[in-house]
Amino acid sequence: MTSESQTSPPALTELGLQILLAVGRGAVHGYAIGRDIEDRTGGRTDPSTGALYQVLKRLMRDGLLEHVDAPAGERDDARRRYFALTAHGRRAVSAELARLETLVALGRERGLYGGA
Amino acid sequence: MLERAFGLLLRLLPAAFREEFGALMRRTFAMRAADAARRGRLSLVRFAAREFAGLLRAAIVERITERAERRARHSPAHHEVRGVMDAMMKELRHALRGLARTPGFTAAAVLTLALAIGANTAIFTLLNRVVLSPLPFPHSDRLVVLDHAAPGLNMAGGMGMSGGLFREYVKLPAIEAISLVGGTEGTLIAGDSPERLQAMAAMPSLTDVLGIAPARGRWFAAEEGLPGGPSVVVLSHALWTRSFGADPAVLGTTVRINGMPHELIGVMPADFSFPGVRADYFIPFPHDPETTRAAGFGRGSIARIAPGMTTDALAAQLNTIIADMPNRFPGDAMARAMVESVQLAALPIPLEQQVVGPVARMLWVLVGSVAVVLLIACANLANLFLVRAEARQREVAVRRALGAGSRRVGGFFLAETLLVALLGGVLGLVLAHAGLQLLVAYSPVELPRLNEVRIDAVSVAWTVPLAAIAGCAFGLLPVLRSRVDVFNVLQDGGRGSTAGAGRMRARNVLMAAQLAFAMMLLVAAGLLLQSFLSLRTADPGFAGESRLIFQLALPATEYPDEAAAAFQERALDALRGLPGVRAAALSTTLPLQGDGRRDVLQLRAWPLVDGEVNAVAQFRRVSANYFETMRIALVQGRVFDERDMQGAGNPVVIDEALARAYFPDVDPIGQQLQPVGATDEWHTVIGIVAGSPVNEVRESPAPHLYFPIRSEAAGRTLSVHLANFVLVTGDDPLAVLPGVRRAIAALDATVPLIRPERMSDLIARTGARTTFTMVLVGIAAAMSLLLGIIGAYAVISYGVALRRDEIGVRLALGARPADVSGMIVRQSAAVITCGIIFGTVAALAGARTLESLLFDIAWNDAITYAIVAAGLLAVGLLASWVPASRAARVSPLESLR
Repeated sequence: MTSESQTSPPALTELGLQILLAVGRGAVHGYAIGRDIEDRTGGRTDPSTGALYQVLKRLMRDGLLEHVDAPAGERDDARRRYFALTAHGRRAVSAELARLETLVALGRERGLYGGA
Repeated sequence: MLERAFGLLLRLLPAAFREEFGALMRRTFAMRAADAARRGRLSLVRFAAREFAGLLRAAIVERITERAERRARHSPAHHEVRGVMDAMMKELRHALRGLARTPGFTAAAVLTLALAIGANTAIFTLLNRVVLSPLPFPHSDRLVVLDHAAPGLNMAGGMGMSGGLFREYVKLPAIEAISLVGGTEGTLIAGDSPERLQAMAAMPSLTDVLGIAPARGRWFAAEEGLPGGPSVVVLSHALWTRSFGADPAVLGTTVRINGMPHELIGVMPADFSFPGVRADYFIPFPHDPETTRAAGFGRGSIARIAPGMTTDALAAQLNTIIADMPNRFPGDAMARAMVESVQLAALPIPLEQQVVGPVARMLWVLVGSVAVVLLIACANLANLFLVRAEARQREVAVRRALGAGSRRVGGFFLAETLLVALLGGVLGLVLAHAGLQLLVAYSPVELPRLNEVRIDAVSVAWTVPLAAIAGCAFGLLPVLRSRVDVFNVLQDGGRGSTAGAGRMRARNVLMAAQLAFAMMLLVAAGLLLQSFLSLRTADPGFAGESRLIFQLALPATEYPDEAAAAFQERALDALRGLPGVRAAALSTTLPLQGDGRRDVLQLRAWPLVDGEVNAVAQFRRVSANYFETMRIALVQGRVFDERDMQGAGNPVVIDEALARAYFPDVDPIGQQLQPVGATDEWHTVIGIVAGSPVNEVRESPAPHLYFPIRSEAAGRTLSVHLANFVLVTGDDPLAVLPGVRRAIAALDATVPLIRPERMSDLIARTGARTTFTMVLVGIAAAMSLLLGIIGAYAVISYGVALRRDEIGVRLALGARPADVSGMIVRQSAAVITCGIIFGTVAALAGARTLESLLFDIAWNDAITYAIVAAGLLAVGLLASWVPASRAARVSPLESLR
């Protein structure tokens, strides 16, 4: 996975990362993304529909997300389109999480985070 | 309906964005709205406000981004936009010049609008922060206060929690976490100076309930919540900063609270405050999970319910537990009494409702009032702009004749009104900011979360559309009127011999509407003013003037029960000897200081059957001359004398409310009663006194039971270490304060004097909500009256000006000036009467919402309505008489020339 560092993924905002993490579980629709974020963060992050789609649009423009058809088994609803991670999106999430991991490790090393 | 509004707002987004995501967004919104609706109406309102603000923001950001992107691409569309923008700027510049040419008009219009928008923004900001914003805890909609009602004791609520019920409730899966909580006070010694502080007692589970954690150190561990567990304390951030210099090293050290050493284990976050409790520090609320006592009510509690749980479903589950209490507490007779005679019922109340409920009504009334002021302001401005538009008919006609389309002409008027709206909006924000600062600084009412009130993005998001809508509202009329008949206007120079009937009709409708709105607010202000006056003159049942009150708290470690009573008596003697002090007395709790101690008593005449409960009263321990000192009237029998004070013969005094409730058919004097659980001895009623209010002057009196200071039974149910003193003084009660401090210090220098103040201030504070609402509604009403009268005057003057020629003809044909002015006043009177009739109907529809704020007056009080209607008619006629009499002086020669 070393060669991928050449096409460095765009910087992710907090909400952007939250959305990618929500989509990471499989193709979902906008409502489920919002619900997932709200539940996971205990309501601390609860984007309005407008803000949610703004970021969704940006993530699609940057090629991190794509539209897909409803997964098999889900009720097929013409008005409901699903979002899924692209390969590029997957790389972006893992790059961002790796970055955070190094920061966490550094914080631990310097005794700023976590206990004994 | 919300979905449609959202769909409309979606149009604000750039077309490309809308095409790609519009349908998806609508769908997502609908599903989330359904979620919010399930959580309650308040939740839905909040959700909608947040969603609309979010969409507005997204639209602005997306449009700016889109334009920047387009410009970067140098697409041909760019030029088109540029052309439209240029045209708009040209109109705006033109409008600016036009407004600058008439500074008087501009100032009047901008100021009128700024005042109305400022008032609306300020009150909305207050409402948003205090009522609509969630409590600062995650998923705060799942926090509930567990209260209980006791129909068997005539109590619709306020029983609180008991330790026994807690023991059972905590096992329920529907409750995720639950904590007993209570406010308390203590003397904390850090270093050498003792400080009297407010404290909150809570359980180790409180952090789970609220979903928060201390900023430093830790919260209570499980064993610290048990009776006899380690003594620990968590500081508020404010106290840590103020008294400990924000020093992290104090964690782990020991401080003394009420003489007992406590280990300092944590500091709460700076922004943490528990609603309704002011706390400088936090100590564990001791609870024995093995308790075998079912009762022991009066404790506060807060719980986090499981997701998806409703308060109704929870109440049903809790009531099942209550019904089963006799089986769960087999040894306790009270368990059966709770079910059978007390008829206990669970009453889970959402925390939000508990916190904002009492003030929400008041704030909604204010929102309604300022909205009405805005409507009147808009009507007034529409009028002003109509006059301006008509004065410019020639200019418009010329533009038309030269080929300007009606869009262009309309754009010209719209540019002017939008500019006024913009200026008014900006100035309004400034006024709102200043107004809020005044309000926060001087608010006589304790509003929850008031310290967090400030103008923020949400207030701005509220003001911008408000100003825009207001601008369109008063800008639209002149635009519609701009379709003038070019030929006619140019030909006769704008001097039509008959005032256009349509023109006058629009103005008359505006005038009637203004007066109707003004009538609404004046009625509201009138009702509130009378409530305020009756509250002020209402007899609270005791004397408040020339009285100083304060509290003394004795440390239990140094003053055992006997010593505490002795100290209090010595203090009374010392205070009576002070110059300027005419009398001194004490009670465990004074009137209007809230529930001191409410407890259960039983009457000898009705022996209890197996733990049955038959009466509840406010228990008070008082000094001998308490009733004379407070001027609480003796109704029958006698009050305590010096011999009674020693506790001999167990005498008690009751008040009229208790006598009425529990001795309706017999003479209460000589009857016997006892506090349940405190003693086996019977107490004899020796006298009946007038009732005293517990929380507010307006309330219906609650039963009171008075014991002498040294009564043994009273000592077991009431704190002997806390006493409220009342001194009768000269005109300025605070003048004796230095002497009082010296006298107490001479007895014991370590006993602090707590909250000394005038009794009259305490009385004023309890009526503050009505006063506060009255002042703000009064200001709104005054504004509406002023604007309404100015509006009426303007309309009538304008009508007279239009009819100059007609009036000239009438006078030339022999009409007397009095006939002419009479005719104009009569015609105005018809419009004013219409306004008053509609205003009365509207006021009747709206005044109901005021009901809870009124005192001693009905919301539909006919006299208030009649006086307001008559006053408005009189002022309205005066406003029409001035232009009418001027019209009568028109010289026929001049007008017909």
